[in-house]
Amino acid sequence: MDVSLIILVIAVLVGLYSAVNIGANDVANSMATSVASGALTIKKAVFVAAVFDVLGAILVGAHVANTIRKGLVDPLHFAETPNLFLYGMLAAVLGSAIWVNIATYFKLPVSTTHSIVGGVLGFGLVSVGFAGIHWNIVIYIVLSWIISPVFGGLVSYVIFTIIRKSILESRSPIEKAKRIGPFFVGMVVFVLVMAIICKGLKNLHLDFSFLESFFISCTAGAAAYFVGYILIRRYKEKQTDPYYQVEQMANPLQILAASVKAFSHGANDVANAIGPVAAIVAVIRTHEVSMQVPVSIWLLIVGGLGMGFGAYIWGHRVIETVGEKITSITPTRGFAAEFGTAVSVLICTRLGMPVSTTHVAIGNIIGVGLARGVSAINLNVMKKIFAAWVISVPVAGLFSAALYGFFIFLFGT
Amino acid sequence: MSIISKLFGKSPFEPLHQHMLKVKECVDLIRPLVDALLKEEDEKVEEYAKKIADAEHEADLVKKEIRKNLPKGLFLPVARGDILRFLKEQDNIADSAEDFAVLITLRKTKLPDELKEDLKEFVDEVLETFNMAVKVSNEINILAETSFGGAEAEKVVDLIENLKTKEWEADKAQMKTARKMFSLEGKMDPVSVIMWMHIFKELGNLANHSENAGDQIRIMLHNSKK
Repeated sequence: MDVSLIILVIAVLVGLYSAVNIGANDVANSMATSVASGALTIKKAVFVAAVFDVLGAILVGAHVANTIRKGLVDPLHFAETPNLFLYGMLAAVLGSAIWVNIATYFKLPVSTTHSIVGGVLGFGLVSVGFAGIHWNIVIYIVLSWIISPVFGGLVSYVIFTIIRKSILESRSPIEKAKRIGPFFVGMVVFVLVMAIICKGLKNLHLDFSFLESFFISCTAGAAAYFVGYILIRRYKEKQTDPYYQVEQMANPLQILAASVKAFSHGANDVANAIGPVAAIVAVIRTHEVSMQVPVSIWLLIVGGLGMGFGAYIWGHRVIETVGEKITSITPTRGFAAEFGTAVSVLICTRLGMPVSTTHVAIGNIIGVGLARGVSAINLNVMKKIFAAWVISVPVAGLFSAALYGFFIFLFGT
Repeated sequence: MSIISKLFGKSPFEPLHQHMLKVKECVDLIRPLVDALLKEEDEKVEEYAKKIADAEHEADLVKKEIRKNLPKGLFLPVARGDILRFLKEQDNIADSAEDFAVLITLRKTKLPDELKEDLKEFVDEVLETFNMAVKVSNEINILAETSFGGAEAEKVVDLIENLKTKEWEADKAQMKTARKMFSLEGKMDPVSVIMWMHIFKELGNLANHSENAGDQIRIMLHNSKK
């Protein structure tokens, strides 16, 4: 049997393994806000995460895959030796997946995105050396890791401030919530539709111009506004605490935002698993390393389903986490945080930036906190997050470099 | 455990309210204790004093738990110092109730019959002041929900104004009772006069701390407006 066919099979399996790991590792983080606020039960949260992960991966997933596949290491260096490129990409995805798996075992909160970037860098450094890495793209990616949580936090800050000023601080919070709620529904749907169809639905081969997509998204948003308007009008005011009722009314809104967040997670993170695999497939098909190869839809489906499956089987871990803790977050806050995350991650995905969903989500919670929305945020956790942020890139890089050497030893150049 | 679940610390506001409920258990025993005192049922007085001490201890435990859950790295909607000072004032109320009970049981200090009505009135005013503070404390969860602003904050400021007016009434009652006692000083032994002065002062402190707790909430509201 041909070596490249073996590598192809291994690559798809490793990609799947990586996808399951990513889905498993991130489900807790992407759904924690919804479960903490009580908007979703754990079972429902896991289900929502799985379904929307798959949809996001398939509908929007390709852009980041391109960046990871060809952006970090210049494939032209491998024009004469496409096999080395194969081993490298395989080493990158396997190395990062092993690191994520080890980290999950030791309950270390690592970013799968940072790991795969570390993995590609690791093999790149040992194969083509310092000069073969596109450092401007590395800086672009690292900057996106800093900008994306700040931007998301800003969105969440603004959204929660609007909720606070217009609803929570008013004398008739329920009436105001009825008036403003549908507007938020429309906004979420607008962002979702825009993310799917802007620049054309590449994966479905539908092409819309920016203006066309904008108008379609506006129409969808307006339709959602009216659906929201009709639904919220049916809410009958009770004689209990009005603020509690506002939170109840915000429940469906948070579930909607959580779904879009899971969608954006799928869109962004599927690339971590299948980006390098797509590169391997392309090399094996064409027998040369080229700059432009499409990420095929079936790879996105494999990656998406893998993540959905990982998210689904990992649900039990979330059960342990939240427990009966007094929650310091409620649906209005959860909505502000999750909507901000979804917007930030979707924009980054569209721009081809592989950002960490977990880190963006944390930026958003801080954003809501700065708007005085959360009763208590434990900033000590930030130290751990920062440590994980720093450690993932070099460790995954080392694993990847070692595996690269091993593959060369095994298959020869 | 998910890193994001860890990011959500325990909200200190519901526990603050729980602490106030413990303080209330303590203060609610003052009226039966005073009734027993006026009827000169010494055994009952001892019994209530013991109960007050127990309730004060329980409030202390809640206080310690809240402090333990408020580490420095916590990011809160109001200043951590404001929360801790509010807790301290709330706890001082229970301390005053306990000190009051201790002073009464230290020595069998008789109260002249002429002063009995005045003491009752004074105690009423103090307890009403305290109950106003409880009303303010009851709002703390809703304050957290509305981010310490808007219509809810205005409502709480009104409650605090009422509390301050009531505290002033309690002050007046204290003065009136003390004046009346000194008009009777010829009939009383000096040690009793000193003891009653201390006891009145402790009751007055209970009202003062209730007012301070309310003030501390107002500081939170004021600081969060910036």
